[in-house]
Amino acid sequence: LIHAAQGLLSELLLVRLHGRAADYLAADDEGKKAIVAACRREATVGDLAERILGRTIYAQSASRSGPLRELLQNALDASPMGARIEVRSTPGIEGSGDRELTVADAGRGMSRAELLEDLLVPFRTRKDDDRDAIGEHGIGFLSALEIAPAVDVTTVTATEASHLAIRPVGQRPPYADFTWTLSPLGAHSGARTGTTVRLALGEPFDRAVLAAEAVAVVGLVDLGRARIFVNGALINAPRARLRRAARAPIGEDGELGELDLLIGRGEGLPPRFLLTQQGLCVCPRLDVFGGGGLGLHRDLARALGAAGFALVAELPLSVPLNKGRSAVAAAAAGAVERAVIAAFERFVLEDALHNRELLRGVDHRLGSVLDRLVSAALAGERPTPPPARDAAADEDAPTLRQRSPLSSSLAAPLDPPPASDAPKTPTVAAPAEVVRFADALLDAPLFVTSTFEPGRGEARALRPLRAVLDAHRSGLLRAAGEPSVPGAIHLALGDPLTLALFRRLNMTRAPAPPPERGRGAPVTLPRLGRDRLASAPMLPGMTALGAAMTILERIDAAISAAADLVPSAISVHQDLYGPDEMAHTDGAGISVNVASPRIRALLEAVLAGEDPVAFAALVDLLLHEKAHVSLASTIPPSTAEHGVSFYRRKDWLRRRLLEGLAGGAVIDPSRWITVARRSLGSVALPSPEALASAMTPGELAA
Amino acid sequence: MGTPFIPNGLPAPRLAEPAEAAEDTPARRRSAAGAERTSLRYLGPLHELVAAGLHRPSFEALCRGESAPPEPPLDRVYLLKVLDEEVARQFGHPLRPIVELLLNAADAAKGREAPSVEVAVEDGLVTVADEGQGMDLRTILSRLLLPFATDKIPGADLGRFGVGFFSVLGFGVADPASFSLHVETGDGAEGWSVRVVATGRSAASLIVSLRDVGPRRGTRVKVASAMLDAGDVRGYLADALHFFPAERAIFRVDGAVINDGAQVAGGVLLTERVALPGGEGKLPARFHVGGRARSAAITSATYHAGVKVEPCFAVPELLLLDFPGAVELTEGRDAIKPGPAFAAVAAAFHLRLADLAAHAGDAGRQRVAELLGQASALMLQSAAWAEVAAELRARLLGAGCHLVSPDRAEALLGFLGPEAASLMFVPESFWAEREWQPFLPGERELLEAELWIEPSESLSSLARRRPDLAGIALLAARAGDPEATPVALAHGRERHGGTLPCLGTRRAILVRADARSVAAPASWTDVYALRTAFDRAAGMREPDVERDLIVASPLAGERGATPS
Repeated sequence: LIHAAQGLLSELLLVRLHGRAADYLAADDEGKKAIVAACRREATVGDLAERILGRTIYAQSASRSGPLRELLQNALDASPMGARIEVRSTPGIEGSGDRELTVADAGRGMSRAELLEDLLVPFRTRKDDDRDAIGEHGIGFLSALEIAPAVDVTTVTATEASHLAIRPVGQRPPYADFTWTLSPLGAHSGARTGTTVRLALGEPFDRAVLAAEAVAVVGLVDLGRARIFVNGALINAPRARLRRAARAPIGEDGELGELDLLIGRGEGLPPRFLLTQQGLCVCPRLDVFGGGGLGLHRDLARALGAAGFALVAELPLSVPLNKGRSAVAAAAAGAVERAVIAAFERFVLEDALHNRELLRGVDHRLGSVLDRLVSAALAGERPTPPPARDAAADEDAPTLRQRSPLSSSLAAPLDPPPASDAPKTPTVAAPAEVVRFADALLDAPLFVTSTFEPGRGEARALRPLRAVLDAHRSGLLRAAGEPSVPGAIHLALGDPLTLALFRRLNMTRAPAPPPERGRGAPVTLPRLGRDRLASAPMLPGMTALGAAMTILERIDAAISAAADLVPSAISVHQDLYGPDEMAHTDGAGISVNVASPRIRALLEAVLAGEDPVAFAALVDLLLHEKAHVSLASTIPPSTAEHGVSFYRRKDWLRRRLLEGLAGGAVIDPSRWITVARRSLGSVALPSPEALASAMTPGELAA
Repeated sequence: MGTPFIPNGLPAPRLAEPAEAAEDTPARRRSAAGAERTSLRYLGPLHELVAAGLHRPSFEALCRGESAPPEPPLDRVYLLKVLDEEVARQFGHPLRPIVELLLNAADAAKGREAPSVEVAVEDGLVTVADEGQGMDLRTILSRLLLPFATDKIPGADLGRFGVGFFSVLGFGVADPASFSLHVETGDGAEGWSVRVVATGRSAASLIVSLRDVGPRRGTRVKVASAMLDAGDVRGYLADALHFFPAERAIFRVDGAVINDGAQVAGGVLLTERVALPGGEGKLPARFHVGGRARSAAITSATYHAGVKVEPCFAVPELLLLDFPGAVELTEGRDAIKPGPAFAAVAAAFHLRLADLAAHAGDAGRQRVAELLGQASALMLQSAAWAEVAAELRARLLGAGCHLVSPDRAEALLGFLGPEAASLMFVPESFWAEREWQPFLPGERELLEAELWIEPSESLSSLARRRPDLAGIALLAARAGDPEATPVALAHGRERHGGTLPCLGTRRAILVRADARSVAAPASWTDVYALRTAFDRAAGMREPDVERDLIVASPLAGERGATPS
């Protein structure tokens, strides 16, 4: 028969350190005392055991929820897959908040030896040989004593049942030591195995705070691993709102495993970056990228945060953490940082390749630049920087028609600034660093590929998107497992980035949808300002075009006056930035695509007479462009947590305009319609083809 | 001095080689070999020396210079597990152990006039030297080489856990080949040289030699490791220690002082003696607010006794919050422990900043309110926020201020008119909003204060009931399902409304009866305002509003009829 046993926590540590743990546990009360006294006599530092205990209990967790995490972690380690773990809180005798907390699992339970040799002794645990368990430091349980000086553990294994009571010694925290009392439970007859830890909290917990803290530490545990309930409510549901966005190897050859980057938003997912291991929070971080040279990564991650997205980097068990489990251990920290950067880049590329939801959602300029670069890469094009002179001279460049829309919008920022010539304004749509970042992304080795050389077997390598697409165009791209041909590149499956690429390639292969607009090839014409238009050859409709520009200028003037902005130069162009774009903005002002049928209809309707809807549509279009202009000239502070969102800016411009008009501070631009219509024979604008051939040198128009 | 203690018949001369190789030339070693050998006191595994230090009989024998001290009966497996944790698992940043060396040096130099610590940094080698109180053999064996054994007092000393020295050995475990550690120390009467090399990737593979090198004073520590990049180390030290109070100790890295305050330009430094709730004395805290950092690494951050703990990039103003050394810290030194002392410092910070903002304008005080909310959520774990929020509200925002989220601000200003801005506090930051939300009235209270709202009804019933409001008919014609669109007529209590006559709320779309665009829409502005306000209030996203209006709306010319 096993009797109750008792002692001090520090004694367990002392006798372990001094190599007499087995004797101690086998001895009776008198024998125990003698062993402890002998150990103390021979110790150089008499209170070392108490010191280590104190450190373990009081110097590990950075927040009150830390001990909760440790307890839940222990429960997870003990539980089979998909098990239920219950956390309950109950009011104490005095009321005012909950004073008792219970964590119950239906795991395998702990034997008497495990309780005394592992649970209660820091630095020592049997989890060493359990590969799924991450409670490797053996300090988790003890840290619970920080928030709850009195703890009761009831545990049932297949063969025994025990009750362990821990009580503080001393008046108030930090307590120097604790007593333990271990008693066998008689009523063990086929009861279900499991462990219940009951904490009598030092400070009362608010129930809502408890739930929030539990969500913060274990909210991302996979539901397949365990279902965790706090006072009856499932709390690890937020995990379901995350999707895996990217994977990246950790360490030079991935010797530390692979990191998963997850993204999602909604309840239980505050917009920040979280490092987790097996779904358990390691540390929340506000900025994903702290280092220098990562300005754009940081901007983008912040924009994601501002749009409400949480980013989670899930670490494999092979990554060591520090003792308090509040950070990656120093030796692996660098490798993890690099893996986070690589995963983030993969994620950005994945998004650009496939659904583009996030990059559009966050309204970051990178989205559109990447879009264009990816489309070009898929088409086998690569924007080559044209000569500097060409890039600077936007309006008269004779070669403009031969340029693809992509190169014309990207060429300028890729170039070094021209020495003299015309003053160069950076394009708003793509500042140089954004274009460079996007371009580099297509050349970054982010795809896990393998090749098979005859006689040499498989060779794995990371390859950039452009190389993969080259292989695709040569018909040499294969999925992993497909039969190989010489020179073929095989893409590893199971990577979100690879999946996105295959989806995109399938999409591109599908027949193109019939063009929505009943118009043939784009009719390109570079931007025409007022002055160029004045010296243009007389065509039918040129007067109407001039009148239309007057109205556009007046609308811009009204918006600018209402919002205290500088008026923008207004010009017109034809299909320069693609046939679908109705208007375009860059540092050189706002330009309207007069080849767009809808724009033509709007302008003609406005010129024809009172059409409030058409006029409102033009105003809204210019508000949209003006929002771009004003955002480009407002540089948000680099530390701003929320980037100034585009549509918020547009809302602001619209409100200022309407207020200005209502208060009479701004002249209603529609009053200029009458002026513009004067001496106007017909409201019809010149046809795109006629305008293009009249305004461009003969040899190019031909 | 007799024969050295070399346990377990280790092949001592071979293992002695790497210990010397770090800096001695082979020639010098050959000539000095005889003399050095006589002063060698111990050579062998580090954990054996630690075990001997832990066991009093062995410890005393070692101090007496006996070559065969009694075998310490310690559990080596357990001891190695402890050492492994302390060596490799303490800190999150690989260079943090170097900071620990500097702090140990500063502690040793304490009490001297103008205490200073000299650091020399080159690629692969860092040397830290102080002229303070060095160590005798007893101290080396029973303090330096025993984890957790320290005489340091939290608050008075920078050292805290007695494990900083062990963390330096982490360089050896991470990259054994390039690692060596050399400590030379003496208290004036004795002088000792401790060298450590690593032969593998665990604490068991650390080999230490201990030599008597004759009386000296002060301590010099040399760490060699390929992981020490000179630029990284200099940057990290400047980052971690730039806010360290210079009166406590000056840190000179390659001759240049890193804590002379030159890293931050402008701003205000507030010092505060914070009274603890228990009333046991006052703790010195320092808060630096505003200004500009001269290096990108310096951002808002919390500090502990002048040493950086946790950076916080997301706070827009430069906030350096230095907690007193007596506040508890985690062993990983990556977080300050919440508790009464932490909360007292947090409360002092909030109130001090509110004082500072007392003479700022409304906008300035709102900015401070936002900043404090962010700092509370992001840097202070919301400590003491519930206690000070009401006072901060009274001093920074005023009673009439309502919390409005940035997503709703434009819609509300458009609906209530620009004057309503004075009733609104719009924190740009999610975190500031989260902190303030329980302590301020919100949008609903603002609407109730400004408007008289009729009971909600369907849009079609409102159109039937109020045929006098021409705009309602327009809306009913536009809405997809006017029967199922709940609306409520609103009337301004005092003010005229803004230019956007509709506002979406949780219950219904509010429509202002007193807006011209609702009563009698005439011009394009009325049509535009009514339409965009209604569409947005009905939950349409702006891109869809744009598409609908710019791309898809029928034009007069196309349909041959002008929309009324």
